[in-house]
Amino acid sequence: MRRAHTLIELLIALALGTLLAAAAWSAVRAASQAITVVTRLSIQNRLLRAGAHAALDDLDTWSSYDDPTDAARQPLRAPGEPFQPMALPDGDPRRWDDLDLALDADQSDARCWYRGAGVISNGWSAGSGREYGDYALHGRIDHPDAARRWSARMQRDIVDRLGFYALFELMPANTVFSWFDADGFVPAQFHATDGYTERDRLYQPFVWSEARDEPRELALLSCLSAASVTTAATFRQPGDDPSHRWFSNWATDKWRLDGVRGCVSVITPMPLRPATWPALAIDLNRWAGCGRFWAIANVTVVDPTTAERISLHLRTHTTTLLGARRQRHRDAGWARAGQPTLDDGT
Amino acid sequence: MSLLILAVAITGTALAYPVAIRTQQLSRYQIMAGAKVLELLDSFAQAGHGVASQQTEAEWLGQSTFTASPVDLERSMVKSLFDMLPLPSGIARRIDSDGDEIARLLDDGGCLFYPSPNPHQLGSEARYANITERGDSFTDWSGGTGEGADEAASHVANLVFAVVGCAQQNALPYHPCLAWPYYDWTPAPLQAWEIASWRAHAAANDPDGPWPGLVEAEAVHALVNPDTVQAVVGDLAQVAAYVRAAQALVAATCATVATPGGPQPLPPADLRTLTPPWPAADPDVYPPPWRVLATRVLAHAATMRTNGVLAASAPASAQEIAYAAATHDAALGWATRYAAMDPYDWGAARPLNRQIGWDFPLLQFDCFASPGHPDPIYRVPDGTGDVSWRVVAGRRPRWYPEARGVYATGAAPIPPNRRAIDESWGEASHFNLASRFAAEERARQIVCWAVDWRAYEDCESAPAAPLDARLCHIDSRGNQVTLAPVVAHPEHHLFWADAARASFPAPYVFGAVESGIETVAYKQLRLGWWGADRDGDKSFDQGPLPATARLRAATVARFVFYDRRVPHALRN
Repeated sequence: MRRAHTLIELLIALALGTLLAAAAWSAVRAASQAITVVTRLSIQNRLLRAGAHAALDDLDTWSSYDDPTDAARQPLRAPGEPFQPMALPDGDPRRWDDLDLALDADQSDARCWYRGAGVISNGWSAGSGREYGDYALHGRIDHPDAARRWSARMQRDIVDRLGFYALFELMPANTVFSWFDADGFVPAQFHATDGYTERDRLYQPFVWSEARDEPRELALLSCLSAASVTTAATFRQPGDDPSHRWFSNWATDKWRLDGVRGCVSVITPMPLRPATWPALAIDLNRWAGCGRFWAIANVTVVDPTTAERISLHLRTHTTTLLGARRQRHRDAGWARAGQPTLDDGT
Repeated sequence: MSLLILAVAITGTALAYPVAIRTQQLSRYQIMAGAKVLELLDSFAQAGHGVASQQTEAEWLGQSTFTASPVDLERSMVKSLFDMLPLPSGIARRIDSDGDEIARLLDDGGCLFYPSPNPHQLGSEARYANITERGDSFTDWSGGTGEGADEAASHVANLVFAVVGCAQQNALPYHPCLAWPYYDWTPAPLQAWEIASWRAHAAANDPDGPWPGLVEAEAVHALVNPDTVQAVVGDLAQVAAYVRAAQALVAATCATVATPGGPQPLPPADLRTLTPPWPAADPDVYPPPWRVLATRVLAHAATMRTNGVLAASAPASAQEIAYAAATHDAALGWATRYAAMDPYDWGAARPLNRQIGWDFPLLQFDCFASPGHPDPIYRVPDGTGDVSWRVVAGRRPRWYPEARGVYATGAAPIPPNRRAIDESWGEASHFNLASRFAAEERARQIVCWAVDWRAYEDCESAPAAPLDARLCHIDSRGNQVTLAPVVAHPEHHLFWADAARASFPAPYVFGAVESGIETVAYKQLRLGWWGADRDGDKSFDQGPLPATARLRAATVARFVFYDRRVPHALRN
């Protein structure tokens, strides 16, 4: 005959069972919290990675600035903007050369040499000018010798049709940005220093001496200044013309140098996500300034339930504007090898 | 049994989930580290390469601070703005790591770096950080939306970086006694250093061959030089004399053809019409410097005849205009040919018109003894005790001039230093910059660890990491050698001004001659004696961890990168 449990045994068993249940519950709770934390971290990490991939992809393709597959998302193809096609028909007087439209700044080619005076643009005394000689004889926009108008036309047309940033991106490092117009003088845009961030003034007052007007390269032109590519509405108000304007350290309005950080192009992945999901936002920023080129992306993940905000800051080498223009088919879509691009003539 | 099963399950769970959390945290760190390394290499490949405010040349070997100009990544991080700051060595020494990698790195003279609390985004020179104080950095990383700091900052703040693996010997940015290549515009008048060089090389026994036309060159320089050119432009007789003198110089040094405007230098032959190999003695292929200088001066003189001042009273004739155009073309042709063909011909300045930056001669220090120099150490005869290695080049340069720069902030010319340059050459066979190499020789690693070093009580009071004295703009004679700050520590914008640690020093003033640089107060201020605001919040912080405690760093990621030997910039 089996003996029944005593009351003490029953109490002990109950106590042990309770303890066991409590421990199990604690473990489950801990596990649950850990799972929550791990899941949250994992989701955030995956979003960060996805955002980084998307940002790097856009930095390579410039799709947020110009979507070659969607004509409605090509705001920078208008005249004067960086993605304007440069296909000009034969005989168009704006072509750099009657026979050749190639964008070529190869310094082994005499067409691309700088032929102006080195120390001064137009002259030190108003009125007469050209005190050291008429260097426009050697090369100018309407020179009868095609090789001697090549560089002038190329610089004029790039800045007119594509803007400041494009000029720096499309011309090689160390380019001297200057050319002579038909009147034999360097045009105001490439010479006059009327004031910081004045529209259509590639030249600005120089940091150390406002009166200096010598021909300059990127380092001096962009001293404490920046030229941006932007689709941001803030800088596209009537009269803004951001592709032909500097941001300057000495400006006091939205064109101040740090304003360039607002020139963002925004990508919003997962537009249909539920409101409770973490939000992923990407903004991209490109400019030439302070002596170099900048391509920056910020990837931000915001958790709507905790308001936690995580950002990833990316700055890297990317496809140049020149490369981006040549990724795009002249007519529509992406260009395959051998197909005409935004830089090819008709 | 059930108890045992349950215990195992609970223990397993308790152990597994922290591991999972750590794995996700590590993954987060790896994402952040990858982003920082992309940023690092972007700066590395596109670093500022302006030489304003640099001492590019000096009288003797061992006197030019520019030889310490960074080529290696970790030195670039110390010298320039890379958004990475050296961790105080006092703190770095308390951090343990797998295989004692950090300790060995520090023992070898390496350094740990932490990410700047305010990533620098608007320039590649140190001066911008001060001038643009209001807008130079992101305190929030929101792309300008101004929504404030976020969690990323704390994740990045826990990362420290180092460069491991042996750096290779780098190329010199310039010869320490001569910042070649010199550049000038074509056309341009003869510079003082050029006529001096002409005199030096005119002797029949010049080892590289004598320069012809000294008498004519002297005449040209006496008529027009950079100091007198402005006074000449409106004087027709003077300009005409300048043209005649330049024509005489060209006739004495170049093959010319007679034209109605005067003797005109023949342009260089098209290389495509010449069958290689091209003989080194062929002046059409390898033009001598006197030809480049003479044609440059003639183009300057002939173009000056067309100037706007004379145009009002005595405009140039069609013949003079045509002559100016033809001589200008010939001068550019010879100057660009000269610059393209031989980086070791140092006789004439490179034309600024030729808009490339890649004709630098390859130079390196010769670190080893040779029969010619049993002692590889060159002892600088200036009484300072400075020493240097000698220099070797891809080929011994010919027709080099003397330094034309100024010494120190008093702007005194560098004394004639031909003897110093002559004595500077080491054993040519030791040159190896152009040698074949295996890929692994150029591979180094950026290593990233995670460690909460800001938990230390002295995280913001520990003195800054020591700065290599060679990166300071002061020489052994005690002179400030540039107009850049004598000491520009990478943490300087975060330094506390004094022991109260409530304020910051005044920003540097670029272009100023600094005083009191040998005082204790100056050194305390500029070398970070009082520590720094290392989280960038403008308030003094102390962590809970005593300085006697040690922390263990977890390895986050390793990145292999190419260890360059030659200074370069990719796009700017």
